Amino acid sequence: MITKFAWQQLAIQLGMREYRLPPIELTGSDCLVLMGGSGAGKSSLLHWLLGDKQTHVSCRDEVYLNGEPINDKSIQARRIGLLMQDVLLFEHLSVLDNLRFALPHRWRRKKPAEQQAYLLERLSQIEMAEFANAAPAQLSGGQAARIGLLRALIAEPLLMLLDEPFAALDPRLRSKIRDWTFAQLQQAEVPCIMVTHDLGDIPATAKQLNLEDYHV
Amino acid sequence: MARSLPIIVATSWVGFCLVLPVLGVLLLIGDGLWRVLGRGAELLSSFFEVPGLLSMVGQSLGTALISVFISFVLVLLTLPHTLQRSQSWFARVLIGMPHLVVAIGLVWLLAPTGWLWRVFGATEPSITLFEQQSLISLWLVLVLKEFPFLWLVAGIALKRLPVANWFVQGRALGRTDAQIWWLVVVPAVVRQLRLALIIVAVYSASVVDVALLLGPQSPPLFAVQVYQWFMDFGPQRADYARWGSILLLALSLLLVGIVVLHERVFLWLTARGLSRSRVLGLPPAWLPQVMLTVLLCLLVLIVFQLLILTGARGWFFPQLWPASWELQQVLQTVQNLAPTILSSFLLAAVVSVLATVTVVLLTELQRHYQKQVSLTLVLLPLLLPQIILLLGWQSAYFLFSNTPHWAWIVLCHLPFSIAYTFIVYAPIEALYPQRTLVVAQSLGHSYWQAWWRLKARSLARVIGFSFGFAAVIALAQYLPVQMTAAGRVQTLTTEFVSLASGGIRPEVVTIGLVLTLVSFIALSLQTVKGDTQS
Repeated sequence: MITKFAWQQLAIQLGMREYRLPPIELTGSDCLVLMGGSGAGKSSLLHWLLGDKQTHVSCRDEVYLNGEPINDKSIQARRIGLLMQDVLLFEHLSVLDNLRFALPHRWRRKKPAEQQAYLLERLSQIEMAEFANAAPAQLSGGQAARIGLLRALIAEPLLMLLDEPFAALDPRLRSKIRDWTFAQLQQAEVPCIMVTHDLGDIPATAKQLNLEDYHV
Repeated sequence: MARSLPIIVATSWVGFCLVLPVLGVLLLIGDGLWRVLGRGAELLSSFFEVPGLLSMVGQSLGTALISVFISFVLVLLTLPHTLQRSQSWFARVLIGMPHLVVAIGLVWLLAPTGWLWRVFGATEPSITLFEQQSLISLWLVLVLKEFPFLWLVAGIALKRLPVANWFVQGRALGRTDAQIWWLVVVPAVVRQLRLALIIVAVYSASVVDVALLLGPQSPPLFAVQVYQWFMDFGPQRADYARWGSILLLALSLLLVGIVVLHERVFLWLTARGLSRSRVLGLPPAWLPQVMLTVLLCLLVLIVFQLLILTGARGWFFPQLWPASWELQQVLQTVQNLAPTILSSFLLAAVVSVLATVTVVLLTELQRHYQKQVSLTLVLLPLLLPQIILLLGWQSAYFLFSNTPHWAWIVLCHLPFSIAYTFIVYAPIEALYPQRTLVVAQSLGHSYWQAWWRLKARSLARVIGFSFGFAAVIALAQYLPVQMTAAGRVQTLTTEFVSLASGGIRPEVVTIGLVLTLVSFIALSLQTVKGDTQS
C-alpha cells in the first residue's frame, strides 16, 4: 500500500513562534526537508507529527495519513517511525532483540523461531547477519545507524521522521549511510520528513520547506 | 614534581583506603590456612561437627534470599516512571533512620502485647508473628532497611537512563507503555541493580547487630554464632571463629552466584516477552507515593510510641497510655550519655569528612588518569561479610599494638562509609558535563580552581548528602567499634545494642531516639544550597 501523508494548511504554534505552513502532500518515497535557523522549531514540529505531546506546541489544523486524521491518535497508533541523531538502540538488548522489539502485532503472534528467521533474513539483506547477537556497544557508528533504520522499518511505518540522523557520523561514512538510508526508504516506499542543517544531506528530488518563510 | 605532588598524595590516600580491606581478607585467609597446615584436618572436622551448624547456615541463607527477594519485588512494583523530588526525599529519610531503632520500635509496636494491639482495643496478648527473637521479625526489619536502599539505587539508575527517549522510540515502534516499561526500562534498571542486590544479600546473610536483637537465638544466625565464637577467648573458639568466617565467605560467594543467576533468569524472561504482545500492566503511578507514605507513617508511629516510652512509668498491658510519667530519668539518661554522644559525633564527623574527601578525590582521579577504578574494589567492603574484614584487620592490628587507638577505629569505619558514599555520589557526578572544566581551564583557571568554583558548587547538594550519608553509616556501625575498640570506646550504637539485648526499657529507647536525632542532623546537611540543582 502506498502511503499518502498530507495537510491542507497548518497553523501551528511552536513555542513563541507561530507558522502558517502551505499544503503538503507526500506519497510513495517522497521526501520533505524542513529547514530553518536554530530555534525555529523544526525538531518540535517533527516530534509533534510523531505524536509526542509537547506543552509548547499547539495546532488546530488536521494532519492526514492515508486519509485519516491523526492529531488525536497516540504515537503507537500513528505508525510513524523516528530516526534521530542518537540512534537510541536499547543498550542492554542484543541487536536481534532490538529488532524483535519492533516486530508488528501479527509477527508477535508467531513462534520465536519464525520471528528469528525473519529478523535474520532482514539482517542479512543489509549484510549484518553476523551482528545478530552483538550488543549495541560493539557496533560502530555506521553499523548502529543501519540497525536503527532497520529497526524502524521492521515496525512497518507509514511515514519516517528523520531528525538530523546523519549528524553524528564522520564525513566519510556520512554520504555512504545517507545514500543507503534513502535507498532503503525508497525500496520500502516509505515517505519521509527530514530535519537537517547540512545541505549535502538533502536528496536531489526532495521537497523543501523553510519554516522561516512562513513565520507569522 | 611540586605540581604533581597533590596527585601523588591523593592517589596514595585513595589507594591506601582501597587496599586496606583487601589486605584484611588476605590476612584472615592466610592465617586460617596457616593454622590448618600446622594442625591438620582434625580442626576442620571438629568445626563441621558443631551442633546445629547446618541449621544456622540454612537460616542465614534463607534470611538473605527472602529479604532480598521481597525487597526486589517491592522495588519493581513501586519504581516510579520518573523519580520525583519528594520521593527521593522520602527514601533518604527511610535510609537515615537507624535500623536498630526501627527494629526495637517495630517489635514494641507489633509484639503480642504491642501498642498497635492496644490501639485496636485488645485485652489479651494477641497471637502474632512479630515477636522479639523471631525470624519473621528479622526479615521484616531487613526488608524495611533494604527496600529504601535498593529503591534509591534503582531511582539513580533510572535517572541515568534515557527513559523518556526510550518511551518515544518504543511508542514509535508500536509498543504500549507497559511493554516499553517491562521489556526495555525495567531490564536495564535490573542490570544496574546487580551490585546493590549482592550488597544487600551479603549484608542479610552476615548481619550481626539486628540479628542479636531480633533474630532467633537457639540456634542463632550463623554470623551471630561466628561473632560469639570470636568474643569467647578459648583457643578452640578462636579457630572456630576463623573457620566460621571462611564458611561465611563461601556463603557470600554462593549468594553472589544466586543473585547473578536470578538476574539472568529475569532478563531471559523479559527477553522472551519481546516475542509476545502481552505483558504485565504498568504499575499505577500512585503506587510509589502510597508505598513510601505508608512506610513514612510507620516510622512516624514508631518514633511517636518510642517518645512516649521514654518517659513512661508503669505502662502495663493492655493500657493504651502509661499510668504515670517521669521525665527526670530521661534527662538523667541524656546527661549520662553526653560522653557517648560526643564520641559518636566525633567519630561520625571524622569518618564522613575522610570518606567524602576520598570519594570526591577518587572520582576526580578517575578523570585525571582517564581510567575507571574497579567498582568491585571500591565496593569490596560491602561485598564481603563485615565480620571477616574486621577479623582480618584485628589480626593486622595486633601486629602493631595491644591498645585500641582512635585512628584504628576510624580506619576500620572508612571502607564501609567510602563504599556507600561512592554509591550515592559517583552516579550523579558522572552526569556533570566535564567539558565545563576544560573551558574554565582554557580561561586561565587551574583544574582545582575550576573544580571548586564550578563543579563543587553545582554538586554541592549531592556532596552534602554524601557527607551526611557517610556520617549515618558511621553512626550505625556496631561491629567495627565492638571488635576494634575492645569495649574501651562506646558509641550510641554499641550502647544501644548492649542495653537492648536485655529488653526494651526507657533508657534504651532514650538512647535510640538520641541516635535517631544525631542521624537526622547528619543527613540534614544535604540541604546545603548549591548554585544549581543537582
